[in-house]
Amino acid sequence: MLKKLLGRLEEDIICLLLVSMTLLVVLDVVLRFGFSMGFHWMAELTLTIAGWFVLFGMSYGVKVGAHIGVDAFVNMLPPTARKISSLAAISICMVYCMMFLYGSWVYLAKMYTFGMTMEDLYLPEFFTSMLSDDVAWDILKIDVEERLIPTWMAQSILLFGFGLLMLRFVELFIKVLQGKAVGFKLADEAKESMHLAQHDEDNK
Amino acid sequence: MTIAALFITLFACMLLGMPIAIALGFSSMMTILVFSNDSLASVALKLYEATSEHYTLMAIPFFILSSAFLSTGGVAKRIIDFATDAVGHVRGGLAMASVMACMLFAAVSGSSPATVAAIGSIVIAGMVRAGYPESMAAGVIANAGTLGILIPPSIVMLVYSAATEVSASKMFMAGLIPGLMMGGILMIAIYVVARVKGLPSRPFPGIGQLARSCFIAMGGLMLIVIVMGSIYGGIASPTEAAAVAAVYAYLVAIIGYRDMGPIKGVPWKYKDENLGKAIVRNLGQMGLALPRSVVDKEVRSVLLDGSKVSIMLLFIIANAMLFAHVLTTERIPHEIAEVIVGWGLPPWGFLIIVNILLLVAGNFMEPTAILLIMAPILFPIATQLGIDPIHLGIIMVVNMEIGMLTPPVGLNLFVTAGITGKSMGWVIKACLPWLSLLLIFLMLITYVPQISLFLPEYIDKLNGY
Repeated sequence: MLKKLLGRLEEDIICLLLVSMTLLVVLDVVLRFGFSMGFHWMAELTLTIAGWFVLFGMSYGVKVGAHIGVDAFVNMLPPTARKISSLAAISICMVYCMMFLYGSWVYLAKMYTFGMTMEDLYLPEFFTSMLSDDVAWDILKIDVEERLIPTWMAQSILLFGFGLLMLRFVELFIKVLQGKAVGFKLADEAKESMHLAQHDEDNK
Repeated sequence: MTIAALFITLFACMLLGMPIAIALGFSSMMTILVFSNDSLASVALKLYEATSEHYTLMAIPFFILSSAFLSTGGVAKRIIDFATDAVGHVRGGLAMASVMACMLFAAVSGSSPATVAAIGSIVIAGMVRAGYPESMAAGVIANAGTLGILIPPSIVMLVYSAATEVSASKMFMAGLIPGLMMGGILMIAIYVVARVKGLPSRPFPGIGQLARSCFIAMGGLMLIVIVMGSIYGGIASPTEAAAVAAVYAYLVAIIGYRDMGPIKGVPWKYKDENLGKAIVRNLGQMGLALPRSVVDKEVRSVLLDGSKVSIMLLFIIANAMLFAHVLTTERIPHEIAEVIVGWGLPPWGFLIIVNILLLVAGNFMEPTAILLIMAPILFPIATQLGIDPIHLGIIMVVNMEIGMLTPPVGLNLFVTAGITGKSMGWVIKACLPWLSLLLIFLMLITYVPQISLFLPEYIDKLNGY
């Protein structure tokens, strides 16, 4: 039940990110052509959302089998060799995640200690006004006078995203070990296009 | 040494069946760790920047979203009706109309296999009933479907410009003439075959009917006009045009065509309804349709489908940027270029090698993956030999088209086999005569750069550069 709810939430977040990205760019176009106006923060916000969209979505891609790869070779292997190759491949993916988790941690820690901020993205005033100065700077690294969003917050999706990706691979590893899955579910564009095929031989 | 390490890791990972994105990222990261002084932190930053510092790349999710709304059977049918009314009265007209429908649908959907499935499933059966040999019908459709990546807007072209930093607008301009030309070549060939074999034509439906079906199809086709118009006119970047196109596609699908969403299948006018009442009812329903589509199941699933493909592509691109970064810092393309220049290879000789390399790679990998791996290597070499990057891009795209028709990974072959219910061998045989046209076309594109470069240069001149 909880798993289903979380899954739905994940999908909703992804859709929301994509839609808000699209609408922000359209709004930008409308403002520019209709009212000759523009806001600096819009471009940065759109790009940040794009980053979140990909880094949040990559683990979802593993879950639903959206990633592409070459499985022609491993599919020819006998079952035991197939299992071993899958486990090896997933292990490499986990190493990849761990390297990124470590790298992101070091990078974000640096951003945090130096108190780096985004260029044009501000926190809403009601939020910063709730914080006492000490909490704002000492813990969150927010400069209440400027209200710029700290870089470590905006880019924290690196840690979160790769954490989720790691989780998915651990899950997949266990499934393959138990024999519930043979390997990555890789996307098959040809198969996916087939739902567009229509079977109405009678009309016309 | 570095080259070997990088490529051996990459191919080993890919053979293990890992997602291509992670294979690219992992091999690049290992090479960085072993052969250079960059830290993991800087690699993490690079990946973040790759996902969130490229405004052009955002055109990819937007185009995918717009095509997800309009790649439906309903839109395909409307386009086929229009194409049949337009050219069906010529000898072999039904086959020509199919090619035209493929070109139009391809431009809207940007995906080759989707074009073959949506158009092919309707027209192949139609052609067989009208007396065409089935192998001809299947062969024509499988080939015409590949035009999806050549006729702009094309996602493969966006990927190329992401990999090489060539302007996406220029790629879109460059693809138009080759795309129309290939469609034209196919149609001429069909006409010749139709004359020889005495294939049927249909009666002309009349201007009124043509105008009607044109108007109906226009709802979807306006998408091409919006995108190409704003890009050619220089008023908007591909990203902005794509975002507007996505919103437009949503409105057409939900409110115009009503193929999906909250007012799916509700007619514009009921049989005994008077006009005034119909207008009021429609306005009300349209107004309500927008908020209702937020919770609509079909709209959500279209969004989700679009997201899946976008995330997959953008994640590969982000990792491919790491890969390209390793290539440049280790000066790998530069070294290969020196070797090739050292051979005294003329540009045309290099282009033959490029074509062979890409045709072979096209047998095993997806277009996007090939482009992202090969473009950063070939691009600097080509520049050194004086080959225009835009021209190289079009050559690569045409090669990718052929890759979709060659086993074992030819996507269009699978789809054609799926919709006709025939074996792969039969489909390959059916495609062969038409595939040879595509190969001749590839030679034309390779050795007559003006075909690709004429339009972008002409528009540059118009804009006064």
